[in-house]
Amino acid sequence: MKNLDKFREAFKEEARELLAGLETSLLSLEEDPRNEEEISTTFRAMHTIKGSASMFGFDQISTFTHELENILDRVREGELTLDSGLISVFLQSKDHILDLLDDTTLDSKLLAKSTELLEEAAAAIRLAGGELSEEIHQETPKEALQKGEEVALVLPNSAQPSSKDEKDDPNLLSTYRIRFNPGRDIFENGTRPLNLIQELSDLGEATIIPYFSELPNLDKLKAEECYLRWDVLLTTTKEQAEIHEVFLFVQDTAEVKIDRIDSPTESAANEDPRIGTILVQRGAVSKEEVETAISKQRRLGEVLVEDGVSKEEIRSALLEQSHVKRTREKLLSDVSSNTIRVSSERLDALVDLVGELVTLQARLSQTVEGVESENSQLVAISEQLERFVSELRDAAMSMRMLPLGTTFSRFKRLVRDLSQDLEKEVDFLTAGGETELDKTVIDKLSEPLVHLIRNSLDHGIEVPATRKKLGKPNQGTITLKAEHAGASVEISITDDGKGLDAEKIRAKAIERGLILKNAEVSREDLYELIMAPGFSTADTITQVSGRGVGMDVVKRQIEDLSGSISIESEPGKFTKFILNIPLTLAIIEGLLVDTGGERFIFPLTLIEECIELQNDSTERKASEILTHRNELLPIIDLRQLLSIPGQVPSSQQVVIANTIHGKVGIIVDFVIGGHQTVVKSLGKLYREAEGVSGATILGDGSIALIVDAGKLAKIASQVLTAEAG
Amino acid sequence: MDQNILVFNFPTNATLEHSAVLLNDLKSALKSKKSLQLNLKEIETIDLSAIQLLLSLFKTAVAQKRELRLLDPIPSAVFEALRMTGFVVNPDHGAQGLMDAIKHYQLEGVL
Repeated sequence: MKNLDKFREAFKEEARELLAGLETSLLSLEEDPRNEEEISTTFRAMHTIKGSASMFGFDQISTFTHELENILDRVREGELTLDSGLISVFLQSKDHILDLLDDTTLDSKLLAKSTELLEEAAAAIRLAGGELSEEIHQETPKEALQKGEEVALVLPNSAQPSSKDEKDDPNLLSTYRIRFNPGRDIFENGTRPLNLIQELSDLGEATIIPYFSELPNLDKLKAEECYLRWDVLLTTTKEQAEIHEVFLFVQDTAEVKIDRIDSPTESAANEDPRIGTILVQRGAVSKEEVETAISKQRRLGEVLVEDGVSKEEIRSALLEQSHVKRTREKLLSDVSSNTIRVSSERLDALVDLVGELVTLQARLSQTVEGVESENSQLVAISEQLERFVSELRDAAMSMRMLPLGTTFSRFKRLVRDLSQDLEKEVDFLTAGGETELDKTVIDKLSEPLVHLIRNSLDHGIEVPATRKKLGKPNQGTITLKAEHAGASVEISITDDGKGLDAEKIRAKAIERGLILKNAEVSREDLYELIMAPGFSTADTITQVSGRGVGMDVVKRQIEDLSGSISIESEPGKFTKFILNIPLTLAIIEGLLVDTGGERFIFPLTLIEECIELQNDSTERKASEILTHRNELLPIIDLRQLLSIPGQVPSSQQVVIANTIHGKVGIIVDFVIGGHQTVVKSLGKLYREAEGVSGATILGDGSIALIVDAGKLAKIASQVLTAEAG
Repeated sequence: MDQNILVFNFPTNATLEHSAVLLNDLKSALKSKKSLQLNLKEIETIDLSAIQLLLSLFKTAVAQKRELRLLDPIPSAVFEALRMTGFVVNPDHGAQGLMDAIKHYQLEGVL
């Protein structure tokens, strides 16, 4: 049973993924209802969920999805169109299936919800002018669901898969018993029975069971006659009609009977069929005869042979039992062997351990440096270990990387539902869904992204009438885009709405005492004020936003990810929120530097170069401009910024970083070199420390702070602007 | 060579076209000697009609209490045709393996 529990958990995981994909497909279909590929994907997802649910005992889901699958099959056949009414029901059904997945108590409310949704679906079909099947008039969805039966609610015919792209879907497997009894004269018309059996075998996994009992001794045998017949057990994704096609040309010279005897997908977790049941199904014996035989407390086969059942029939039934069992087991094994699902907690534990290993390895390297000349073998081992640890780190980190697109689909649904509520027309575009980020980062990104998108929809995009007056298309656009930017990912949310009103923000900021009445504040800085706690320019508070609670939280959430957020906007045209998020929070490649005996780490991917700086006698300001490669580069002195005491050396180095806020040179005493950095959080006390995003433990056990180069670039720019002003 | 043993060579093409002749030859061979050894190594093509003859021969030999042996090597075409017939036999075990399989079917009472 424990194994089954594991499979059930695996099914739940798989179902959640399928449901996420289903939602994406449904939203695409809303835009393009005739997209056959999406229709097929939707059907397949529903079919797989249904099959697997049945396999692992989720009967409510199985029954519910069966009805939905029937509707989708009609869509596939072109009998119905997925209009927005039906799409809405399907989207709600997707949410409902998620609830059913977590329902361990067979909640009657959920059962009622299933019924309600199916009735809504039926109503939507009626509204769209579609016809319901005969069955719907005979039995209500509620009755069907309560019985837990798989009944066709709206589909007149059974929902057997038929389109070509489903052929290899293991969830569509069926096992057939094909009784092939060639006529004695089958050789005469040139038919070769073994070729037909070969054709059958090519359709799937076959067990061929010959019957030799009619084969006479040589004296009575006629060379041109066929004496053998067969049972072929075939597990295949093909339909019965395709199996019939194999025998198309022997219809007059052979008896062929094809019975579907098992669906490995739906029955894998069930008890294997009993030999008595198989023989009854075959019509070899009656149920009563089996019961009588069993009551004799002897081997069933022996008793039945005594009662006149042929040994071949019993042998064939035994092989059928074995074939069914094997194909079910194979399917279960395939489910578990294609991928290994590992809980994210376990992955986190692995990454933590790798982090400790990286720290320990750094200590080893440092220790070995001291004995370098004395023990070259130790040095070689240390270097080799460093390489392996580096590879192990990358492998461990890559396991937690997920494409951002997995969350994009959720936002698509959000935009759909919200735009309907707000009576706005919005086209939601996404790009860069394949961009990967650490799972922990993605998890923490979801909430701020939801908030930003809601903001764009509520405050950015205008209602259609307003847009029309402004000469804009009725339908607004929100674009969610992700792309790599060095060791970071840049995510932007852009709407083509009314833009930010800088003057309104200024007035509100003055009113709230955030800026002085006559202060000269750049437009960009005014925009930043919308992320001040409690700041809102919204005239009305809606269900969606406008309470001024949110943007400050968004900023905090992004900064907690060691990321940054900036805003670009043009009145009447657009607003763009730009998030810069590190790929991972756990381990980064760093550049270790020393200033006044304190150690600091710069994220290596931001570093462009390091240059020498000869100090003259003039006193240096905290922030200056340096001309480098014909470019004016703001520089900032780390020693001054962080008030580090001590003698300034005559020669220092400038670490030039390219950040989202532009290039900045950071003056340090000297660069030590590259360093694999296990990122540790600073804790609440140091959270407000400007220009520092985290800390790490060095090989000697001391602590180095991780420099937030982007923040330093911003500080340098602000200082220079203030000085210029 | 033992006078009571006859080695019977199967033709290259053991197919329906040659089955009638093969059947007569096999019947004669079985009657002529007490012990029959079948040499299948020349077989390149074999179909169901010849497979039937081969299996019937074994059935008949048991009925007539004749000794029947298969000689190695057995061509892969024979094993392939037997496999397609549904005859479970391991080609790696050669002639002895095939004889054991036939015996097994006979003991089971299905051949």
